[in-house]
Amino acid sequence: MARFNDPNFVAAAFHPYLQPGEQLRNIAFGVKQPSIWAMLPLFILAVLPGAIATALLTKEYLVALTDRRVIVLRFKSSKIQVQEVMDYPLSGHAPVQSSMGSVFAHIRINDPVKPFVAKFHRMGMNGNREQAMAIAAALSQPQYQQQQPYPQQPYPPQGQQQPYQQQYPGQPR
Amino acid sequence: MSYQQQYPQPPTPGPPNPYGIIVCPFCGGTTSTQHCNWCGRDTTAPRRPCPNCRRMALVYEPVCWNCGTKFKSEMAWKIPLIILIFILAITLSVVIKLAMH
Repeated sequence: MARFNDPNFVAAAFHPYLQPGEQLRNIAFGVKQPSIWAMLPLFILAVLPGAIATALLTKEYLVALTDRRVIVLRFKSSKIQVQEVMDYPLSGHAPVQSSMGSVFAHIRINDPVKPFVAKFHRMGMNGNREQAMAIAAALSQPQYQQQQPYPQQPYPPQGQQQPYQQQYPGQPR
Repeated sequence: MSYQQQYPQPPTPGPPNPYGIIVCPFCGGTTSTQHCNWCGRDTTAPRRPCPNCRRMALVYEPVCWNCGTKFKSEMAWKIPLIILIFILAITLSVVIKLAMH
């Protein structure tokens, strides 16, 4: 039932795309099927060709979380022939939507340049759901705010200003 | 007429790379900016491996920059195949119905 049984085989597919010192943390297998509204007329026209069309138009993805980014591989065939590579930094990326259903976990990255959406079946890989949830959690963490060069401290009210007292080490207060 | 040597404009550094200092996936050079200091490509852009030489190329580049292989879209054969399957299925159903009458 599972698409991949050996997690080491899947992890090996990412090695050519890792930066020096980059470490894999989580890997999940997901698919993106064509819109149901596009497929419904085909299924009404003929069921078996509609199913074949859906299978042909379905895109398969492997998503990996590393210590510095999320790597997405679009591939074909069980030998993982990579067709496209995308990556998203863990901080400063586009808004991410994720949801967990009873069977599928969904991740959507609303990046205007490289949008990504896929659903991850519970049986796609060994522990696929937990891996997808970990990746979604890493992407959904609050992003780092750009630090201002000079943080603005709010001034205290005029009546509450304390007199300036310089404290030296060892000086009794 | 005085000799004036024309120097090329230095490349603009561009925004910093979100991953820090990285190895460019296209040329293998080390860069700390989003656009590679060596080849000028966007190191964060979607890319694909060339089926011939396995070097990475930008998705929107029509040919491989290294070996010149022309990239083909998967839809170029999938869409005609799907149409052919539907034509075959409809033709087969019509033939079966005519044969039953």
